[in-house]
Amino acid sequence: MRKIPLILIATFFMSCGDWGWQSVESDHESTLNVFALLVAEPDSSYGFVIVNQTLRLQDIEKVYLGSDTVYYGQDSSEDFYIDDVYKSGYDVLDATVIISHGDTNWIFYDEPDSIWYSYDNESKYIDTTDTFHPIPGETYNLLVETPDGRSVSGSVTVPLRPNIREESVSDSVSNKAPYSVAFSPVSDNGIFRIKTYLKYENYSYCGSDQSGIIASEMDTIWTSRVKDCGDWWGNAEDGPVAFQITLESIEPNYYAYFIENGDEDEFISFILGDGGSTGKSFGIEGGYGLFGAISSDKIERIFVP
Amino acid sequence: MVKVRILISTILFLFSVNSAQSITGFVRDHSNGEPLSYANVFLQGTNIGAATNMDGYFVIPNVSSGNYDLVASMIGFEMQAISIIVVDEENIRKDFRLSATSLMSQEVIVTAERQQFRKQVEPSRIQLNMRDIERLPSFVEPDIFRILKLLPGVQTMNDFSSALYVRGSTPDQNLIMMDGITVYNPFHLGGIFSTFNTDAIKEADFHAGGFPARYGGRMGSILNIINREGNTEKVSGRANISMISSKGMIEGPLPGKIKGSWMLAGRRTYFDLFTKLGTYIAKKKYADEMEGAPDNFFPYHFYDIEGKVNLDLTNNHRLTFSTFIGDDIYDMSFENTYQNDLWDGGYRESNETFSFDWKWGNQTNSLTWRWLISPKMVLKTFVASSRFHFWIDLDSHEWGEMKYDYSEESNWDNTFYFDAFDIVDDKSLETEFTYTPNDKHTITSGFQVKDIGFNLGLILGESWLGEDFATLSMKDTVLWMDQTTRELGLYLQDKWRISTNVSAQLGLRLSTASAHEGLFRDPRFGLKYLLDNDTSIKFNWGRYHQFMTIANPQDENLRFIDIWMAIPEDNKIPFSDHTILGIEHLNSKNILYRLEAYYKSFDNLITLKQGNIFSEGDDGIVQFSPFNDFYDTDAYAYGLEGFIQKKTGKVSGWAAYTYAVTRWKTELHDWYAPKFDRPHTINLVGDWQWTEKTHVGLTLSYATGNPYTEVQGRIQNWDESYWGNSSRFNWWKRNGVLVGEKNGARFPDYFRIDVNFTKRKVLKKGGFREWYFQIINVTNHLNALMYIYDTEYDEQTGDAKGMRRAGLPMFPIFPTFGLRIQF
Repeated sequence: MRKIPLILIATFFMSCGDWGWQSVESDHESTLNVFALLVAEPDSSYGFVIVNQTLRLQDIEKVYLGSDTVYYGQDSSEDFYIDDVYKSGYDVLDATVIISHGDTNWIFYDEPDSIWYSYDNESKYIDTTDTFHPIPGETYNLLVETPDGRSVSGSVTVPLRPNIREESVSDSVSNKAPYSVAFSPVSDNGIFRIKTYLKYENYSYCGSDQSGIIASEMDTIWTSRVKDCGDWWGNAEDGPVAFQITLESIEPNYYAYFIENGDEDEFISFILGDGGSTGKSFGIEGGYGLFGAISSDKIERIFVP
Repeated sequence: MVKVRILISTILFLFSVNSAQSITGFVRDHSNGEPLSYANVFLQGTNIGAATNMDGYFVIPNVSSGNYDLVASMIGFEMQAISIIVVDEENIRKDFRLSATSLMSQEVIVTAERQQFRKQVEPSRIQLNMRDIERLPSFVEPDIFRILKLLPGVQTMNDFSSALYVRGSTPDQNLIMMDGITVYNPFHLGGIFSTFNTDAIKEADFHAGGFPARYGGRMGSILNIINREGNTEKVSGRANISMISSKGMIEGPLPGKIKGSWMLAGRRTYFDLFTKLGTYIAKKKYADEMEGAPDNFFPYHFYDIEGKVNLDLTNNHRLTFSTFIGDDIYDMSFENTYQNDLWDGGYRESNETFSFDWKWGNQTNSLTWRWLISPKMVLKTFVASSRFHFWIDLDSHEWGEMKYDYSEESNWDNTFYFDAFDIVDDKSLETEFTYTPNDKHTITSGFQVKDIGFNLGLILGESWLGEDFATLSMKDTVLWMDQTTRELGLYLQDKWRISTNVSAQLGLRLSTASAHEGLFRDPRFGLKYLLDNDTSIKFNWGRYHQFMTIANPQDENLRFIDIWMAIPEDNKIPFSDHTILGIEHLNSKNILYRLEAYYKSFDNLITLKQGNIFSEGDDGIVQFSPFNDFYDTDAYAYGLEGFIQKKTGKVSGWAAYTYAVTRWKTELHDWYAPKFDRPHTINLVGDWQWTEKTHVGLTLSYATGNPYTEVQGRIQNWDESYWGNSSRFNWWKRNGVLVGEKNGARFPDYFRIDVNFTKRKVLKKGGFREWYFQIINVTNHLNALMYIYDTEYDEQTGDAKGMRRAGLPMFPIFPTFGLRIQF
């Protein structure tokens, strides 16, 4: 009987598991993850390619590059702080990016200081010759290669430009009454969406709106109201001056990546939060990401609060 | 017409009631009058006998006239023999009252067990009594579900959940009943405990598969908890005090000359009282910092109350009323008032009230009428209601006024409320007719009508003061599902002793469901062949339809509640086919050896599409619809189970090994192992009677680790900016996790040893007092519930250098103790 507690204690100490943190590595092979988009707007057409890579678990997300001294204040010799500079482990800055159409090739270059910015300032590969203007209805091919031998390719057809029937929209719109937008669909099975913005010196604090996906050829009229921004209308001199209506035609790759699959994670735990995905690729072969295209039509009307 | 007459005559001949006599009666526990199920009653020196049913009733038909010793025997009770004289055309009614005895007596048990061994045709069936339940180590207090998971073919997902996965079937495919009433969500505290108070339980009847035609509406298994009927001799009771709850049971005969009995049991946790005390002490010590804090940071408790009354109107008519109510309650509320002066001489005064009321539980009621029409015919009619409710009620109100010296007074008054609920309302009417025409056939037939309502809702509302001090309000019913379905079932079954060595059980169940067209046929076939007196082979095949499902995410690690709903109208009714082949041997020392193989196919199975909680309709409006979409799922399961059980002697218990494979397939994933798939499981369960009053119990569990989807890398995905602005680019980067094949990796193997010590002292006035001490997970083995990931940093530079992970543990080593009293 006396031996039983001793046996239990000995078993306990022999069997204690390691309940702490452990470094973890994965066998995953880093793969290119590309976001390439061709945009055909009424007043401009352009494209860009963002080249990322996936990381293994043991890879570093933010690579430390060094420190930079940043001066501020009136007396710049004394007012400064040390800013640590990092490079994203996801970014691929040495890729060769080529978009081709027929026999014509455009080499896109990484331009980190470009005006082509998004929410996070990041590198984008763009056409620096200003000769790349995607044409609706045409098919373009993408090739991305890196010095370590990785590559992805893809192709996309720019949707035909949709057409807003200008006569369907009155010269001015107001937040006090609904407005309607009619458009003529095109026959390339595009998926349509309407976006509206209140323009105020290139910013739009509110009044932005977006329709759902208009997939049926029969739905060619969209009716809505300019969203009420309350006190913001205020002074007519400071208020918005124009109401912009954009009709987009989205090709299937873009629709599948952003809308159909969206931000849905496949594996979810309600209680402890556990989401992830196996990676999306639409219009891309040999890696992850998207090669998509949008074409659009725009009109502007005077906004009267 | 002639052929019809021949057919009817043949049927009547096969089931003919000849002029031989029947012996019937009840077998009860002498100490309290409880009927004893599956007791064996036989004519000594013959093979003629019968087993009692769940009501303790037996029928031995077609006994030739003569002198006999009628013997009743049951494991744990002294055998009793009564001399009888059977006379032509005179049925005999004999009731037995057996006295409990030590399990060490071999002779009694050999006879009783062997009778049951010969007669039971259904495979995969185990009966547990209270003695089995209380002897084994358990988490804090005995729990029937935690015992069941030690049987072959039965698993739980983890230590925190009692929901049972049986031979590849998920918990919603188990029919769980208490006194025949379906119980939905029979769990407390998210599944750590079941709702069944073991002090009120007489026995548990569990079918892991191949269950007979009287049970329908589920594809997996059957668990019927039979509550005690009440002591017909005297008022008695028991109490149990453990670390988190107290429970008691009291029972006795009906007063005066009324024949019958009653039983009342209850249980309540007191963890909330400890947390309330702790909060009070903390608020005293840290009054300033905790001003406005609630009085109890964890105001959670659960309780259950169950009762039963049996009324014997006559010797042949009995009415039984059974009721249960149990709730989990989390109820927090507080209110505060703040006043402060503003810098310019103004003032601000604000008030807030907050209440969060979260309640879930079950309420069941049933009335059963049992009529012994004749010695060979029993009719049982049963009407019941079972209601599961879950609701969350959150109310927040904030109001106040503020005034600066330079401005006018401003006021605000904001309220917010949130109501979520899930209600399952089941009303049933059943009738069962049992007819034993001769010693070769036992015919059971019946019908069931079930009306089930499913109501699921989510409502948000808020109100606030507008500019002109008018109250503005908004109320949005974000989710509303209201379904009612009616299930009808009709069944017929014959247990047929074809010859001395061959028995069969043939059954057919026909069902309809109101939301689905058609008649659903469930044939059930069982065959038993006695190779010799000690060895039998069993074969069973059956089809099982199910008309409801749960809409729980399949990948959740912790199963808090089950969200029940009827199978959607545009989905076919799922069904499963069970094929079971087994061999059993009961040796001379009363040790049972069983080897059983099974194969289950599943058709029309549906599993919830996860992650699609918010979806954008074509009108651009985001909708909250967490239960709107399902995957069509193919599935199969097969396995081999070995089981050795010893019920008598100083050492008793069992050893179980299960090899089980389950695979699912959906449109999204090719064949994969679901989260509960564990190829190998070993359970060793033992109880050692060290002295007459002291027992030592041990359970050892080993199992292959559960599968999980491994994190393999990291990726940046892009999202569209929903609200958009006039800048050229509207896309946002989002860091995400890259995972491998669905459930392609496995956690480390599961291992746990629990030990249990009990010491009993018999009290002078009868009854006993028993201390018990348990240690859960004696070796403190880390069984991982899931992995959590985090960035790893260099200790010196502070730079990130990859990722690290830790296993979130299940139960660590955990001692617990309690006291059990019986009077």
